[in-house]
Amino acid sequence: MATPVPRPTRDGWWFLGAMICVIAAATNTGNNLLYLLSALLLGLFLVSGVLSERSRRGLRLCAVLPEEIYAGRAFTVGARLENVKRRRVSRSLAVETAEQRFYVARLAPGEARLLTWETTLPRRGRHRLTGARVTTRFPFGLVVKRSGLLLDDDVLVFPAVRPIGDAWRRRLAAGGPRPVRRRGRGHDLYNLRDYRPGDDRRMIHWRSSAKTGALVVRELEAETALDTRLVLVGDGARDPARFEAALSEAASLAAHLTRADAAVELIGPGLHVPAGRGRAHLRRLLSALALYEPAAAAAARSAPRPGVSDLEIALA
Amino acid sequence: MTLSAASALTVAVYLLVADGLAALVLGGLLAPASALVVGVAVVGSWWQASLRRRLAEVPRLGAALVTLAALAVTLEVLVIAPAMLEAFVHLLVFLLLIKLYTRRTLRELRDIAFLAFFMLVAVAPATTSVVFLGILIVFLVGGTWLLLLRHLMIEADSAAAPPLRVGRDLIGLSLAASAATIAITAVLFVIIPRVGQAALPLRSQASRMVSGFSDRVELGAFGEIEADAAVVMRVHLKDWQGAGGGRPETLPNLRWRGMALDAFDGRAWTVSRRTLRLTLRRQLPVPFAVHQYYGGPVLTQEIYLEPIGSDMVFAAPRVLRLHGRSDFVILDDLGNIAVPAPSARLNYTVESEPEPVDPQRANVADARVPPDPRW
Repeated sequence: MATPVPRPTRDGWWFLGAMICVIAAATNTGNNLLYLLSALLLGLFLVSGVLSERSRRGLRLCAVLPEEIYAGRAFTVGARLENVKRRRVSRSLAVETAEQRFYVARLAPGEARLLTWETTLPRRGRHRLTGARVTTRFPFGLVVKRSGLLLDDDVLVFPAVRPIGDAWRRRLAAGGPRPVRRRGRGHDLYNLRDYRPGDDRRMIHWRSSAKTGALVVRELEAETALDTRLVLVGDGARDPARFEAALSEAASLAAHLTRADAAVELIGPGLHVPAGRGRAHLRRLLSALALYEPAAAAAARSAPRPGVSDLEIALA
Repeated sequence: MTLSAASALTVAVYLLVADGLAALVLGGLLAPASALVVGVAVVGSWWQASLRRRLAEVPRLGAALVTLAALAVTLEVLVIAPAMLEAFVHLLVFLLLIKLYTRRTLRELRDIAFLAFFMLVAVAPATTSVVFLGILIVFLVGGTWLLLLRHLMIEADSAAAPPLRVGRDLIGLSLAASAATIAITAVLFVIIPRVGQAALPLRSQASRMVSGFSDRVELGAFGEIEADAAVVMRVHLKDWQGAGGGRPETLPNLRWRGMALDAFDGRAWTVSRRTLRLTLRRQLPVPFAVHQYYGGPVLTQEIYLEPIGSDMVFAAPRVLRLHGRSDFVILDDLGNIAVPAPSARLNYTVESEPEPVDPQRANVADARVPPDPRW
């Protein structure tokens, strides 16, 4: 991106005004000392330009962004400002964003500074950050030099995730916990196996260990009945606000269920995310919800698998 | 070793102020006694913060003092000051003192620096002393230091950063910037195009202004004025009581002298023997007294001169007094009279003594200009 043209500051305009006056006087009178004063002002301006350029060059600004950004929730943006020059110190730098200005008085060669600020993106979807510029008025405050726009990265904003309401809790609890045939952290025994270093000693099954003469540990069955299929119903065309609220509900449910170690599947008009569990799967769900646009086509809805309950969320 | 930036900045401000006042004294625009009074006032402003607090205890005292001073300066500028430049200088000094006593923020230091700089600008046409170069260098070093510190402190203040300390690296940087500026200034001063002709609004006629009136005139390289029929000088003679029956234009040796060139190398005429330049400054609204009067009839000439690209003015010898709008004239020992202000060269009046009554007395050494056999 092109570097913007340097612009005089208010002091710079004063300086240029004085310089023009003196040059006019020198031209008009032909007086050598006035020419000398004109040359001095011009020289000072040139030196100012050279020093500010030396200070501004050789800088690198990288974004440090969180992995997950949620609509309407403040998140921390980081900017890592690094002086990659070998010998020259950079002085009096500022990183300017749309909302804030960070001043770095001195950045030694090879030194980096992490600048952080909070910002909020109100809507889900793909957004471009407003970006930041590295600026300097060094050394005399006569001219402000700016870098091109940096940190204007694209970010994906997930729908707002909030604690789920009591109604949803009651619906989830209605099914009750159901053990499933896989290892987990429930109460029922899933399996016995030989002890391996690192196993929780509280899980040693002493009776079996006494019988076999070797340490045997218990493995428990996962205790969950929350494996759920989230079904988005409707096309969301009539009430955009309701549509967004519904997506937020879906995201909140997905997050809640994932924390409960449930498998979550997402289905809706033009949308299908197969069942899965874990943090990575939650991000797949949230990404799908973040980019979801209302579609006229109805969801191809199959019968739920055994042990999986359907939760319908009305888009509009 | 580090130094508080605020202290260093204050020192830089006062250095610039002292430099500006020294320049005024050098150029004769501020008498030593006045400079002393102003200097005391400047030193007093070092404690302006506590003084301002005390003044604030008496309602409107500060405003009354400033108003009184402003009235005095206005009166001085409009009525008392003999010339515009002096009035301008007095105004500069007044504004400088006001700023020194009322400064509150770092940004106001810019105004003080500008006022000090314009003191140097005011002196520039009035001096040819080499000391001015020293004053200029001191101003550059102090000004660079002030601009650098002021910028860093303003930025640190706005970012609520801890107070700035000044170390060797900053001092070195400032000195290096000053040295670089001096080097660039020297180069620019040499290569910057000299528009030697005066009177900016008449720049469209620049080609006609090349007259050859310079310190070096090459044969054959005459300017367009010589080939142009346009009249460049008009002289109105009046009040002649000498020979010629009241008609001075009949005087056999009447000439209007501009510049004397005394050396010819086969190709060009140059000035080789000028050893003295003397700046006359008008103390009161009276004419410049150039040479002594020896009792002969006086020829008064009112001269209208087109811009000719030279500071020299034309006058019939021997010049006694010069009336004009300039505050300065510069004489040299070749008898040349230069008027730096271009507008003052367009119309001026000269009183000359073309025929001294007693030629013996005419050889008496002049109080101002050394005797010259060619004069």
